[in-house]
Amino acid sequence: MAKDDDRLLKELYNQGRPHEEEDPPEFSSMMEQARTSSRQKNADQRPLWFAAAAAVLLAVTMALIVMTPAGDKPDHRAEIAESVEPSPAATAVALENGEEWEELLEFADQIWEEEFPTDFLL
Amino acid sequence: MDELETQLQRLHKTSFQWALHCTGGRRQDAEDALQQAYEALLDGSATFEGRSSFKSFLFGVIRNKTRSLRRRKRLGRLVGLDRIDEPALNPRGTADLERMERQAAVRQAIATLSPRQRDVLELVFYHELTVEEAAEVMGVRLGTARTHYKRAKNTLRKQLMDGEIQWQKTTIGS
Repeated sequence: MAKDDDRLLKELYNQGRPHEEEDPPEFSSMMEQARTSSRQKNADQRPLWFAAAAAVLLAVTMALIVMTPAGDKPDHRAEIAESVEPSPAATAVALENGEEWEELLEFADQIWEEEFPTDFLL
Repeated sequence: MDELETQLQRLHKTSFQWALHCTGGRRQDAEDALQQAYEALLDGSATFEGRSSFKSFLFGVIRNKTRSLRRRKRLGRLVGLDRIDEPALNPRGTADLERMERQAAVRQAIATLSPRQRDVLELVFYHELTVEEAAEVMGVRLGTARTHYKRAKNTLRKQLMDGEIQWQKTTIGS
């Protein structure tokens, strides 16, 4: 009974619904316009991406410039690598020659200070 | 034509009817809303994730576009979901006249419903969605949609029984 009522109500509603059925605009022309708008929207957004990428690149470049120590300091990195990490054989030879551990540590400190000066760390 | 466009084309007519309902019968606004819905689907700002039927998803997008269009144009009072347009009547005979009188009575009854009650009836009765799908389109919980649906039916039934329309199947024939 309730279902019959609903069906009746539905039929009455569909007969008297406020807006008569109207033919929609042509689908293909609407889709074409939608495609055009979508392409235009993407094109409008492209300059923003370029600007953002350029800003990031600039920021990275500036950061590298600021972090690089001033002056024409010679590059000791290869030398340090050899000195700080002596091969086991070299260490054994050094110990055999009677060199003191303190001297080795002092040398390492010296290299450390040279490569990483205090003002850089601050 | 890809799958999305095929589905849109299949639902094009009914989508437009829904857009018309959402815009209070304003054809131009309905076309704009539908156009914007299609654009949103093409540029990916609205993406179907398969959580509901495609039809209810599409109707939801159209409804949102209609609302934002209304907000943007500040046509809340002019377009308004509250407004029911009265179509021109052109009776051609007694039968037509009776049918149109009945339509007018039904329209009058529908006009007494709240916008959400009208929405749920339009979706369930005309577009044949389930109440659950209607809830998705309207962006409300299922319980809320059920309440609107039930109250809408009760109000409509009462209005029609109080009015000139006899609550009998014989009145249905057109």
